Amino acid sequence: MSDSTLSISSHTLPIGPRSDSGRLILGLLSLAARELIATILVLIGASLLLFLVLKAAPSEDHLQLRLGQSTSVTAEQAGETFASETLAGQYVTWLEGVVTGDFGTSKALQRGRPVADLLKPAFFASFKLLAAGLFLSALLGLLAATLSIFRSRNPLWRITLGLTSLTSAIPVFLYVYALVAGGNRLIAWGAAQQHWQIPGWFPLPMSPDFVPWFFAVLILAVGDGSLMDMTQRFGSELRHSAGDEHMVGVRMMNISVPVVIARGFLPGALSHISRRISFVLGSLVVLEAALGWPGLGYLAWRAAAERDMPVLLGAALLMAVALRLVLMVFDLVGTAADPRRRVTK
Amino acid sequence: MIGSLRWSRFPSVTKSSRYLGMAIGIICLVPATLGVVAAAFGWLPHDPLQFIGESNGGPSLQHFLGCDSLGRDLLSRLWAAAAYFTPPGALAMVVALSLGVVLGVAESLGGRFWGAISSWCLQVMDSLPKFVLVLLVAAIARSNLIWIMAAVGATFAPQIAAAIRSSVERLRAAAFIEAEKSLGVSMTRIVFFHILWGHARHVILAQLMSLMAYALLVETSLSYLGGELGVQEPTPSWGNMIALARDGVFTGNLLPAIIPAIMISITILGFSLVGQGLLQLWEERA
Amino acid sequence: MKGTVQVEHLYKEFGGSGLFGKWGDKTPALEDINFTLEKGELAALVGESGSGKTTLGRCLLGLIKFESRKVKVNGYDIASLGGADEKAFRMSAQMVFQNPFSSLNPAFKARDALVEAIRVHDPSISREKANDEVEKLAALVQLPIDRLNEYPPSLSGGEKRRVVFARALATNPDFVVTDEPVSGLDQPIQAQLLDLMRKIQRRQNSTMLFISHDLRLVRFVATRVLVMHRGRIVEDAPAEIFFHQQGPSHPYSRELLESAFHPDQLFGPQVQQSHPERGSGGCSFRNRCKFTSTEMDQPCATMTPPLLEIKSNHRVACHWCRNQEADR
Ligand SMILES: Nc1ncnc2c1ncn2[C@@H]1O[C@H](COP(=O)(O)OP(=O)(O)OP(=O)(O)O)[C@@H](O)[C@H]1O
Ligand SMILES: [Mg+2]
Repeated sequence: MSDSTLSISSHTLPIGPRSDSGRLILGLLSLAARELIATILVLIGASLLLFLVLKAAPSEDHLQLRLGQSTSVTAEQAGETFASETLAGQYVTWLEGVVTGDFGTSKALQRGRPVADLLKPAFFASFKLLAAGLFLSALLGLLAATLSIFRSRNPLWRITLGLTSLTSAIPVFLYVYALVAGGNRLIAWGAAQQHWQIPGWFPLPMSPDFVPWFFAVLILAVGDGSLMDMTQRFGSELRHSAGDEHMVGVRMMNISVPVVIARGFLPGALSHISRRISFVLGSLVVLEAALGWPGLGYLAWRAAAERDMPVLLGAALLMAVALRLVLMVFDLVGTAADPRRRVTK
Repeated sequence: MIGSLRWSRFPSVTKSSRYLGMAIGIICLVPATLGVVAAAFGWLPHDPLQFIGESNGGPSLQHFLGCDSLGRDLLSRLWAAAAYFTPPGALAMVVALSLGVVLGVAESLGGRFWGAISSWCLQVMDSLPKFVLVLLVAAIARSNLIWIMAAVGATFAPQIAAAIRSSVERLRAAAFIEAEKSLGVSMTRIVFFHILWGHARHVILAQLMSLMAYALLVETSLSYLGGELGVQEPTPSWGNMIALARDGVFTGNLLPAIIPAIMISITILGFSLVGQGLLQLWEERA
Repeated sequence: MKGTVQVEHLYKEFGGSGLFGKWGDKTPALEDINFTLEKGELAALVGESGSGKTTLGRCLLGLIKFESRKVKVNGYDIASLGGADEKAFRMSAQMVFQNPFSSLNPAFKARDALVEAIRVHDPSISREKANDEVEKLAALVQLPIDRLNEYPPSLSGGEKRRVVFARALATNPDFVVTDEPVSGLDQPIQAQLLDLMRKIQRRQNSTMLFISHDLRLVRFVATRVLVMHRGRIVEDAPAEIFFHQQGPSHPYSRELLESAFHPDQLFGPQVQQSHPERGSGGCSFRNRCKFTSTEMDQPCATMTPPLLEIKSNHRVACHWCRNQEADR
């Protein structure tokens, strides 16, 4: 048997050779285009679902959607014409408004103010909080997962991990309650002692109330089962990507093991984080509502409590758009990192 | 060489720790289960709605856990709340399971047209933030817990469908599917018995456990936050019990706030641990 | 009608994308397959890996779609199976799949797989009765009864094959396709299993298509040999002629036979010629053929040789063989 058939070249590895990076970029672009179309279709579906849920209500809540939406006619007239339209007509009228940035006007929360004015500042505040919470959650989850795999025999770590599960099972609203009840005194005490000064080396510009903000992020990252879920999923992803049989081959061929583990881990982890966003958004609503902080979540909760449908639907749609866009980015990154997915797509 | 081979597998979760987690989870679920049973058979120590004790009375032989600020027996309210939550919670499971199975099976086996339709439905449901959709339903249904839990179940359907899809995708090419086909076994039986029952039941059950944890979380959060969205007084819920006792803490009445808080936390922990144990059981078998 | 197979002009292509499978590369897997099997025959289908043996077996059982003028198995028209017909057909024809490791559902015990095979066509059979039947089947394929209560992953390769074979026999089929039923086993076990298979086939007087690429095993059991190369049947000969009398005619069959019984010749200095593209016309074996060279013999390069009878019951698809026969 000739020698050449036996030797294994690096081309048989699951890692693609560098030369096809051009093709990768082209493939990703076409994938992005397709995903954009899918996103638009899904968002239309989401708005339809929201509209139908509202429509299914026994009351006349859906008529609020059009009240005073356009400026040329008086509120009552607009409402009347809206009521006389067919179901499809009503939906299209509403969607038209939404696409052009006209979410109608608030009915109860801040009577008469355009919903878009309420949503815009709230969105950025919430987005920062959400991103920080998710990031911290992923970081802590990764740490705990790594420890749970590499130190699984050490009883001390096992106990620590068990406590992590316990702290994570506590709902966000309880944490907030505890923070408000006990934490405020702590914060006040710290402020009096000058403990909470932002250190001079800290690179990011921070508002002075960064301590409560940081606590909020921590609550978001840990509570409502976030951390437990992250730890567990990350652990199983790590175990899969690090325990595969091909790791032996990887070592024998002198390829960097961490890189291979990371490439195997990243796609699954990203898809898990993206599945998690929807839940963390829920925690965010509870957190903002319980703390009374202005933000998209607080707005959504107040709108629901006061049955202010234009604001609630606006907030829901805005969150859906942001969620879809983030998912799209995650999917692209995951596809770029995972050769298997690139082949099958 | 031997050294590098030994490295190839990280130590997986040990058997004992897996059963430990499962056992702790089951123990955590005991108090809530006791409550459901007691309420179902009418064994509650007192009527949860009657003002019978003194306001903020401490634990005594008559009231094992004391009374809340309105003088109602705390233990009875605690258990009654668990019982009150159970039927809507079960409804959430039924809704999630039926929607998830139908859409998941249609997505992975329904051919081009139905596959695309159901995948679109699932993505639509997945792209709306779950809690906000529940808020919308709660606002419309005027805090009717049945509707709220049906909405929770519906928003959870994509999770169930994803579990089904991944197991179907994994097994689609397996030769035993074709072997069953050539035996004359119907497609329905292949899908539901050979694939879902044989290979996905643990995963689906684990998803249902995390659904229960989530449903409890949603119910207590809504009830705690108020705004006529969750369970309304005088009907007991762990959430509105804490809300009622919220300010009592500053006057030293810790028990009425802390006990429901502990109940919520350990019940959620119990559901999560049982779900996790099931998943690990599955991973080990696969 | 029972136990007969008639195949005329069967074609099968894989691949194709787009809404109706119109675009993309299609790979022809089977081209113009023609043959018939009579009741009680044990025909062997041999050929190199990837020549389409498994695909042909799946077509005959109606497990995949294909194009053909006529394919009748046990009297049922496979292309238009449906409803009650399909049920009856599924009972009368079975396949033992190539890979026993994945052709049993790992989530259920071997016993359950067999009980299901018995009850699928007659759900009125009680579980106890089905269990008795299962034990009879196990005895038939010489599987120890206690092995029935194991999950497939904990059965040995030979045991798995016995289970799979028992499952195929559970419905008393008139026609069985066995796809490499003994590959990967040690030789004594191979012989034992094959002997068992042949005995059962004789006793039930069923028809069997035995797929293999090991001609030594084929010589042991078959009454007829079909040789496949690159999706076509290139030779169809009685086993008597193929192994004992004048031997095979097609150059590819000769090569197969030689390599089976004198494997040492394979290791000589050999020029590995690649085969011509599929579907490009001409004989698919011409690049490796010893008896002809591509440039000189025009028909081999341009015309696909048809499968024609050179003697009664002996058909070959080769220009060179036909010329030889004519010269004689
Ligand atoms: N599902 C499929 N999709 C695409 N191509 C396929 C599929 N199944 C088989 N093929 C192709 O059809 C050809 C014939 O495959 P087949 O499995 O029938 O070969 P075989 O003769 O059974 O080989 P072996 O002896 O290795 O089992 C091969 O080229 C194969 O790649
Ligand atoms: Mg094959």
